[in-house]
Amino acid sequence: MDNTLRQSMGLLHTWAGVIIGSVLFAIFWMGTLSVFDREIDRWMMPGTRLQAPAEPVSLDRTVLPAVALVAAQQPKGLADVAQWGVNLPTERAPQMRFFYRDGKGEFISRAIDPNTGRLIADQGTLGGTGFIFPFHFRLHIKWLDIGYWLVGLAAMAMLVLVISGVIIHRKIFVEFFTFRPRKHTQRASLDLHNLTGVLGLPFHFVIALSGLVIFMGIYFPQAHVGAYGAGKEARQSYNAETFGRYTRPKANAPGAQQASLDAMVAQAEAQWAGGKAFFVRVFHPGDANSFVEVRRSYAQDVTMNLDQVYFDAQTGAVLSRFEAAPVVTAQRFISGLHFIQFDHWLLRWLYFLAGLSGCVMIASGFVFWMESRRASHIKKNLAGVRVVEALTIGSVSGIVIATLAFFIANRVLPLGAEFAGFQRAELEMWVFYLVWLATFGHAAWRRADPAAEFARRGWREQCWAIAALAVLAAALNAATTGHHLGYTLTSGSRAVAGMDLMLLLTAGVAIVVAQRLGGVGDSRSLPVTGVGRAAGDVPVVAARGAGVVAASGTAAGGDD
Amino acid sequence: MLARVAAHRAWPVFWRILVAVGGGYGLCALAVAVAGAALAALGMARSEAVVLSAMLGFVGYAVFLVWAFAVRSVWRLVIWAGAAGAVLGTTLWALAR
Repeated sequence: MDNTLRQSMGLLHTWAGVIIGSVLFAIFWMGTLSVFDREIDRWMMPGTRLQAPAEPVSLDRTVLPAVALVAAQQPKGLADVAQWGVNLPTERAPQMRFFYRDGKGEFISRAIDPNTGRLIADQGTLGGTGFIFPFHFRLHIKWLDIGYWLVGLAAMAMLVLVISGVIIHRKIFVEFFTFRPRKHTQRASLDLHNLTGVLGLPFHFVIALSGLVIFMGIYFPQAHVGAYGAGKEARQSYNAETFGRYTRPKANAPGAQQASLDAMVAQAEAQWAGGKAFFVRVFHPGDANSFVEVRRSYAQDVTMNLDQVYFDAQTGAVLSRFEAAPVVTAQRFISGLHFIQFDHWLLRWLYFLAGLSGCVMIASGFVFWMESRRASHIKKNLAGVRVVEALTIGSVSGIVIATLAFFIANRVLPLGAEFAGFQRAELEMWVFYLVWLATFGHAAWRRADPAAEFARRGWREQCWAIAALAVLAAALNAATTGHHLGYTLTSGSRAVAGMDLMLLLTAGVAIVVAQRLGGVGDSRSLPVTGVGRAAGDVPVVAARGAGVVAASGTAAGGDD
Repeated sequence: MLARVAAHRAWPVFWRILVAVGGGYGLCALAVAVAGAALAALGMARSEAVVLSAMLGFVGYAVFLVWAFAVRSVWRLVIWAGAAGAVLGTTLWALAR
């Protein structure tokens, strides 16, 4: 391969980045939005824009009637409900998420107003927690868990990119303070890539590694076979010892009256010394062997505890209690660093900003890759830069457009809409995917002309589209729900107000970028002149013929 | 001519990527299972041993990937990875028997 570590790491960084960068950008973008997934839910599900109740909610009074209502709709009543569960209301999710599994094994999720116990009409959307968040970790590709594995591969690539990125650098400290936006595109994009990469280095490393650690059970499914042996029973005892899932089979005999759920929650909370419950689930409701799971909230700690207490549903007696052992607790702490389920607004915003800076790092890496080899590709009549350019535009501005189209579809489609056999929630997803596909088509069509130039038309037009769609989304929210900024800002609906403000901010940023891309013939952004002019960038000029090495050479510290 | 040169250069790269990404994953998966058993044998609780080795598996994989792309000869990579795989595989087979 190469004779020095730095050169081979340069090659690795360059090519792993180009090949996996598009997927990585999608994961970063969706992950960044997932920081505010519940706020996006409030915006997309107007029926759940509720005040969180001031008093602790009585499950006996609010949820049990809803369960009775659901059971009455089943052919065999409560016996047809295999299990049901409910999330207790929080500041960020004031509605109670209520779910049940019916006799056919189908999983149905609804929301309950915690103040009244009323079942809220189905909002017909997957929203932030159902679409954006799962997109982040499995790309909505369920077949063979391919989505999980692709994301895992991207996360491993991210780790390797971070390590190789550090190795190829000579002047890490200087890069904290180096950004020359007025220099040519190639120089400015490398500065930006280095700046975001170096500033965000600890974040990027921890976020990639913790993302992998969260899904260790998926990525190393056989981890236990050495210690526990192979087979289903070995797996079950590993899971029980590690994560503490208690279970017992159905007795197939009717049980007595359900004991008070509120009393069970109170008893569990007393054992947790100040910890609150956040999730309650009833297995085999109505059966003599019915039991209740109560789980502890993550609101107070980074660590996503595994504290859980199981009760007999008829007597209220404790059946089992579980708390994670030290190493598992460490695993849950690392998971918590990634999931940020704790309550801390400042940190939440910092995660959001760090995520955005990760997006900028990936995008600027792409731009640098293209600008540093555009001239040589044209000379050698290679299609590489053009293909990567269209892919980059679709991956970067395209996914932003698709996300905004998803929001707009959410505000335009009436509740209960159906088309060609697709439910409303599926239609929203189709809008997302089709619009995203269209942005790739647009990027390929509006390619650089002349080819020696940055594809400013494609970028500019997609920026204008972002600006228009973002304003439209905010306007549609006001038009369809009446919750305009004047109302949300004064009534304390912070989630909806924040979402609208972010949409307007997005529009503003997109307009600024579109205008900066506006001037045709602006020599600052002409990479050919740029390369020629930057006589100091010896590696670029000297190694231009070698193509690949050019990029790794400059990335390795082309700072003059 | 040009295509032949490209093919001549492409195969080592192909093998390197295959052994690094695929072989590296296989090695780490084996190492995780073996390390879980070894730590448990040293007195750690079984579940703790498995979780610790699984978490370290990701770090090990990252280090292996960097090494696999830094090592000069593809053959050296293949031989080392093959040898490590054989040792780990035999150990796991003996353990899980």
